[in-house]
Amino acid sequence: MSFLDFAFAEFSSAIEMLQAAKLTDNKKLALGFLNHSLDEFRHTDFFIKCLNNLKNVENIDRNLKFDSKLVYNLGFINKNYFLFNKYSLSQFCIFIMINESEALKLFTKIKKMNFIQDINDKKSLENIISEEKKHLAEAEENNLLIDQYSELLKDEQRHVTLSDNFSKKQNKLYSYKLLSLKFLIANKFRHFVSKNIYINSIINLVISLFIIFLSYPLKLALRFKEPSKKYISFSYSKSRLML
Amino acid sequence: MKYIIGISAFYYESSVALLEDGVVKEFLKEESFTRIKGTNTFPKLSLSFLKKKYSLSSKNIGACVFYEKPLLSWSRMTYYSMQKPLLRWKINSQQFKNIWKNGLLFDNHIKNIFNLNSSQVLFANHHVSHALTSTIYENYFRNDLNKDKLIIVVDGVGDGETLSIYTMTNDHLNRIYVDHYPHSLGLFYSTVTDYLGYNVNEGEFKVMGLSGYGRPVYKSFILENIINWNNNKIQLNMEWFDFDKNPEKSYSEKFSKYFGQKDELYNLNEIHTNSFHRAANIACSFQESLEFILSEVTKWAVDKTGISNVYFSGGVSHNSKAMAKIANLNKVKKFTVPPSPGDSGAALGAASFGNFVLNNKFISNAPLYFTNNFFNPQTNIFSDLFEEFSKITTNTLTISSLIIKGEIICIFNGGSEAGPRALGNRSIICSAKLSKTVQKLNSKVKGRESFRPLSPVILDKNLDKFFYVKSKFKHNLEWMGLTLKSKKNTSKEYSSCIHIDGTARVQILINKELFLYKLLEKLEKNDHQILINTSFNSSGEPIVFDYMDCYISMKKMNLKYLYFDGKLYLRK
Repeated sequence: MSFLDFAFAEFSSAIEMLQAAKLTDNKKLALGFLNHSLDEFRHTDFFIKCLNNLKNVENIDRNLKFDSKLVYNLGFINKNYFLFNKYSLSQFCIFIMINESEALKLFTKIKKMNFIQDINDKKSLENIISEEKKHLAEAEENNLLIDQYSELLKDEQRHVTLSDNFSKKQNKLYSYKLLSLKFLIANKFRHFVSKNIYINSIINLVISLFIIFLSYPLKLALRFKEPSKKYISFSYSKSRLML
Repeated sequence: MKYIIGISAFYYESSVALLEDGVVKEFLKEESFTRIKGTNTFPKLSLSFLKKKYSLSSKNIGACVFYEKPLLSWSRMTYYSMQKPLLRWKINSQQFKNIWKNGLLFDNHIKNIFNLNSSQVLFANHHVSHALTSTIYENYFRNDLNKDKLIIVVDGVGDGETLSIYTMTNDHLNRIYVDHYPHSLGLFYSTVTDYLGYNVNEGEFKVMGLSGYGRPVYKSFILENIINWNNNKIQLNMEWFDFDKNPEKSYSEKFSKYFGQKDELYNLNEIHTNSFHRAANIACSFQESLEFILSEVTKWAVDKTGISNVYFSGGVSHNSKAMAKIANLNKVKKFTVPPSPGDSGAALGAASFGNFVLNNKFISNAPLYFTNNFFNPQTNIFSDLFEEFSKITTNTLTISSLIIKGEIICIFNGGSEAGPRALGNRSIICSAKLSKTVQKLNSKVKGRESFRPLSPVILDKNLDKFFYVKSKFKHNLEWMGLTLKSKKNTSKEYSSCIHIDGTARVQILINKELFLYKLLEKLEKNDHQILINTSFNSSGEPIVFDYMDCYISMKKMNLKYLYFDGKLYLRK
């Protein structure tokens, strides 16, 4: 399950970075995001390969399959927006930093476990870990640069009102911490939900009990007569109906 | 000026079609924007793209048409699963959990983008959308003999319907037959797809490819015990299926017991193993059973209506092998399957429905290639990713000489194609004569299973030299609608593009203005008359939509040549 989970995480990260590359108006950032995206696509392939190799092992659920569409249902990618659209560049960088550091921790953990037997696969994992370290450094550097640029702008403002600038600075630090915490929780929650099949089972059971209890009246309500006419109507009034 | 928008969403491959004064201007898949294959969310990005490009607003939009009746669809499926609530509790809970994930909130979604009135939002029946999709390429049918149409729609399920048959005479659409869930040919085929370890809605092509290697050893058993067409009704014996009870598994324990535990079939990449042969026999048996039932349905419908001008639509019509079988039936005098018969293409049918409701006219002039329907990233970093191959303008001669040397060329030229097949504007090509190059392209570059064949593209004038073809279905070859049987010399000279069963899903080129036509004319002089044409995407990703996607795909596949709008480039 972990390999599948990692594959989804890396894939969603690749998609987010690709979208960022397409949406940013900064040439240097676009190139950086694009290369980052390529790394993440490669990592996805690596974990899919690990998952497929695991299918040779006994007692492994061979129904586990990577289906890219599931990144929506599992909460890795939001249906309504890409992160670069929603967050400012500075927030986006904090998000990447948190996620990269979490991924790094997880990958280091699985390296210690003995799931990966193939020497080439072990080498690939080593490469992924070093690339994740690089991404983390880049994300931190970008954020640092943005902070420096913000500092420069604030310096200009300092001439106008020192006190106002000071409070802005405080607020920024607070929001930085708040955002880091928010993204960290979101990251943990996402992995938890995607892994946890028990939550789904409980929800299913509750809904089922409810339906069974109401089955007779609901059945009556949903029983529709088949239209007897063979002629397909293209009337405006009928085409406005959902039924 | 009034626009009509057709939308398909929430099941598989969301898409949007745009009509401008009754002319198809755009057809976009949401996956092109999200870069997530098979994206089935509301196509917000596609609509936003069109809104900006055409300045769409509530004032110039005549109607937004959803491709199905969401309440009908939900209630029919729920009613069925509530017949046996204990047995189908998993499906029941899924129906209620996902109640807001289908089209019930379509009104709200669309209003968030265009601020339309409720009177501008319409709903077409799912199978009617499919049926109308099949008739929108009339401009490609060069020898129309019969104006009456017999339209057969076959898919998994839509609005609770699984197979429906229509006649269309002078813009009057009549339904003569309908089958309901769970008796579905689409789900019958998806079950074996799931059993063989492939993703439902994606792996069906693989099962079709695999079937060529097998023998139909289980066919008579399947037709006696699992599916039949008795008394003019399709009947599935539900003891063999679980798709109506379990959203995660399509086949039942009984299925596993008879055909063997799935665990033994996990590795289908080794062609000469027992496991592979058993899987191929199962695939072949299901494929031939599907073909048999479809043939029987078609013959019955032709007899009943007296109309032999047959159109096919719905997801099952993607099965080009089955389509070839139907097209060759003696009773069928003319056969058509549209370029995009599946759910994404139904957006075009929905738009046609809207055009009829508002303007009393179906559309029949959809293009195969669209113009400039690609995305432009905010920043231009093209020159950082690619360099010109030569300062001198590249022509087909340069590219043909590279192809003869065994190079593989990626093409991003003009707008994208209408259907799921790359037809030369978003393609990867190489010579079909060079079997090592073809093998490399199939397995190493694209990472496809070795048993799946690649498709050939050929000039129309040369088709007869290599393949058996009939005029009654030839027009479908412009978009690889069905497979053809190859002649003996083809298997010798161009064995790399011929499947093990002697067939190929051929594309023919008629339009002399197409880049691929000009290229093949040059190659012909060097005795390379057939090219391999596969879609420009790496394994598991949607077809490329802009130059950044080209770069990502090429880098993943380690390809270096890109023909981009009239020039040849090298990837950096």
